[in-house]
Amino acid sequence: MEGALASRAPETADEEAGRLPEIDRSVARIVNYRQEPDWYSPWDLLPVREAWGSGFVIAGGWIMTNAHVVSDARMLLFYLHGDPTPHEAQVLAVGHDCDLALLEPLEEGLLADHPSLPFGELPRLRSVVETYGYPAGGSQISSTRGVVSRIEMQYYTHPWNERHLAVQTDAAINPGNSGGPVVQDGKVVGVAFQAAAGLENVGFFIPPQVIHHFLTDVRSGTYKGFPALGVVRVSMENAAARRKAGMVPGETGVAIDLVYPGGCAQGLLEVGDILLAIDGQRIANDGTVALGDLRTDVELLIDGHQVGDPLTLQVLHRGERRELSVTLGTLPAAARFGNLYDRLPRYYVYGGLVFVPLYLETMKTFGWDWRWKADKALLHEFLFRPLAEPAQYTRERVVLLRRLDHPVNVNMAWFNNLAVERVNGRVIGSLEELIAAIAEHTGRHHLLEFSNYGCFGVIDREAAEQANAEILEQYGVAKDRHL
Amino acid sequence: MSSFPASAEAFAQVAQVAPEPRGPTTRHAAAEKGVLGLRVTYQSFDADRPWRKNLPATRFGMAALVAGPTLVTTAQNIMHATLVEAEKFGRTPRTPARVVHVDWELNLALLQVDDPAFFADLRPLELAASTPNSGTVQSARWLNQQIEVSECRVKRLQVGEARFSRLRHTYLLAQTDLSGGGWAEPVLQGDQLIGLATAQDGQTAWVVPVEMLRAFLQQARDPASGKGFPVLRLYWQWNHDPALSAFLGQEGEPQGGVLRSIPWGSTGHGVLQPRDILLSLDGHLIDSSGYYQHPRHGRLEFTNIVVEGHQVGDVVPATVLRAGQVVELELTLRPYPMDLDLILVRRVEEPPPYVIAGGLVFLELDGDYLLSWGPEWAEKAPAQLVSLYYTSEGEQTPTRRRIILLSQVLPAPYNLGYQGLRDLPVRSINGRPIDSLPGVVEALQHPQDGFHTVDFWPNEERIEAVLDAATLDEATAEILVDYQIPAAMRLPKRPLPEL
Repeated sequence: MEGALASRAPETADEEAGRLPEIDRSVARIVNYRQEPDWYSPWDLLPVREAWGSGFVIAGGWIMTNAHVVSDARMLLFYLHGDPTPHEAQVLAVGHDCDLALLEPLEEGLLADHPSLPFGELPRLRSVVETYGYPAGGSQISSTRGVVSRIEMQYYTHPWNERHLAVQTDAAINPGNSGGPVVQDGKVVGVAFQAAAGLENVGFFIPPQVIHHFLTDVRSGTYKGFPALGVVRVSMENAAARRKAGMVPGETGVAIDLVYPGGCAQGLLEVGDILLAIDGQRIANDGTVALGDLRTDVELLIDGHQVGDPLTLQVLHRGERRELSVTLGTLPAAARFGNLYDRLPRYYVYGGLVFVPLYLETMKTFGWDWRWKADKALLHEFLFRPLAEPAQYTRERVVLLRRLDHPVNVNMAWFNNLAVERVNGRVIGSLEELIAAIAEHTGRHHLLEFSNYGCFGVIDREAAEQANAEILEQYGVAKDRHL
Repeated sequence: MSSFPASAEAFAQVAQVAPEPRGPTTRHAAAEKGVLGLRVTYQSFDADRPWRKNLPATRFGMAALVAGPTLVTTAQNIMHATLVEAEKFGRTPRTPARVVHVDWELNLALLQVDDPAFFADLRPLELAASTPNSGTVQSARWLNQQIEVSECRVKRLQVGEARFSRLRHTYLLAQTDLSGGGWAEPVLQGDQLIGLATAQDGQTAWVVPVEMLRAFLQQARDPASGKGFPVLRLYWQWNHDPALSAFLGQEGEPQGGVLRSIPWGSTGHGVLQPRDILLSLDGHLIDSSGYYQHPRHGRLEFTNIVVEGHQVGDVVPATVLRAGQVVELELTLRPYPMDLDLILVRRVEEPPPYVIAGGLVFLELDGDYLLSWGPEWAEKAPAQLVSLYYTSEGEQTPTRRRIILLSQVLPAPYNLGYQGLRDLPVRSINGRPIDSLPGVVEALQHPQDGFHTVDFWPNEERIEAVLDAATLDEATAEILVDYQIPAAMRLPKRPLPEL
């Protein structure tokens, strides 16, 4: 197909403009009937919403789109160009970390006649690209044209805490465009995925590097996601800081400010080490690396690898230059600090007390502006205490989120948004540990000690156990837990 | 607590010459002759750039004329004052007034007008014998040259915290139809003064009652004797939950307040313990909501017990239930000076201290700094600072008296790489733990291997900044010139209170 297209002269104005009719046939409109969990009533689900997006056919008879287009789906439909028939699809693979997904039509052979779009290379700055999709829920395909205005590492809003390469363009990218192809010279050079709030005519697409990483990962059998070195890096732009670290004139790098426990750098790197180079690529004092005519964050080098790949680090450790090899892994704790999809919340209800893990999703129950609106002590436990005590990253913090009022609990002085420190004297490191601390206790009362302001409370054990079924029934909670 | 010079002597002189007019009365005669306006020009410091002052501004408030004659108003009204003028409405031009005594803890101030003629057609208000706890009172202020007198219904007496300090005392809460009150409107019953409205919450005026006014005037007459008020600063919670009281060893109906923590430096520190149930204080039984039976005003929060009828230094008996046993204790009543707090609520008297080194601006985290983000600072200031403010309450210790911030960096080649840093709490400098600005200055005298190393409490920016020691002074001098800053530092005038 690619060769055939390239071998003949353009016949129409559309073709001359690079807008090939075949592309229209490969772009699908996706409708997702989605239902997200209610993190404040974790046994419950929010109302079903209809969400629209776009996708495109790729080799293998799959449709590529954004993860955010297909997440939390109850029913996924797609429509092909000029065909009013809804077709059902299922998610074959999803990478929430890079906002990409693959769909498979339930009907076998459905896409056999639809050209699969080939992938191109990262487009050059200031080159022209064209987006295809179904913005604003419209049923007719729309295409817009723009130039590549910037290429750099960006936060992806779907996962919230992941940064990957992204391409900025002034081609209009609106809701509904998500998942649609960005095309140059007949090849897909990106997947449209997000716009910049507050900026005009600024849209972003996911570049080929990230798409290839996702596809390679998917083809390996199990999607593992992007690897992380698991460190916090800070710049070394100050000359005195470089001298104190033992860097010689001309030497550049970044300092390690935190090594996440459970990450692949644990035991290899230390706070205060200077990371000089990765895979032989020198790191500038501002934490960037040069890649062709591109200069962007050093994380790009790590993104070029899959989980399990070796990575070579050149490090200045207490005055000594070392070369280290690290096997890249993921950072399991990072999931708690990002948006969660396609899963039901973990919770446990005991005596009407609703316990949940302290995740970003828990903080979001205060609203999108939780960073300013959340209970300040809970904010401290979530964001700042782990920075000071990195071991906290290995601990799943549990929160007494709220109370289902019942005589057994209604007199407790403190009953919501409290980070649980200990239950019956046992330090709590996960929801399972809390359940065990309650289940294995035989005393008359359960003692709950919270991290917030030294607050504590007790609940009568026998009374709570007698009330459990009644409370669940009264408040419409089908099960006391989901783990 | 502070006093201005020449108060007692001036007080006596003016008292001799001041007339006591007894003229014909109108319907609001007492208010017309005893309520004065204040025009206050003030200029606060810029909390973000503490070496400069903000633009001057003007506020209007009220004052009550009392025997002396002298003027009583709120401390809040004269905060950061550069010029105070007293106003007799519709009669004469404004007359300069001097601040002779301020009690920031109680939020009251005493003013003097030196021109005896000022008082010619005025009549001091008589202090009521006690605060009424029912019926109606009148709140008075001048507005547009008219005396505005509002009939207020006494809602209740309630214990609340003073505006600038941790002192908890009784307020009279009155339903008022004045809008925008709380600027020291005198509250009268008939011809007698029963308090000053120091705040207004919707249509509820919070009135500092006459008993506190009287105590204030007494301390103003003899500033040397002033030790402040006893304060019981405790973190406690209700004991409503029978399961909790049973867990703490209490049989029968829950009684008393459950203590959570007793901050260092406060009354009861070292005597009371977390998880004690405070059953009684000075012979008053405390209920499970923390109330006791006041002989006149009904149920009031127990923290009021130490304020009313007691002096700093008094020893009062306390009964607690500790691990199921009734224990009799004695509490020596202490004041709780405002600067005992780890994070000062407001810096009311002294200009904000700071230290600039190599363009790095260090200051104390305090309420004024947070307020520089506006009234909604809790939702606008950096999350770590707000979180620190809320989680550090009562957390002061002998080795942790202040939280020092690197508030900003004045960009210069010397500090290149750090110019974007803002609002990072400092842990140590050159290995020395930092909990004061003099500590910052001292630590900077001890560079290590030619470097100054500033370590921050872990934050979302970075944990260390390294500076060249040899060129620090030179860089600081240049930065001060470039940024037109008069001095590299302003250290706190007074040492922190010792216990």
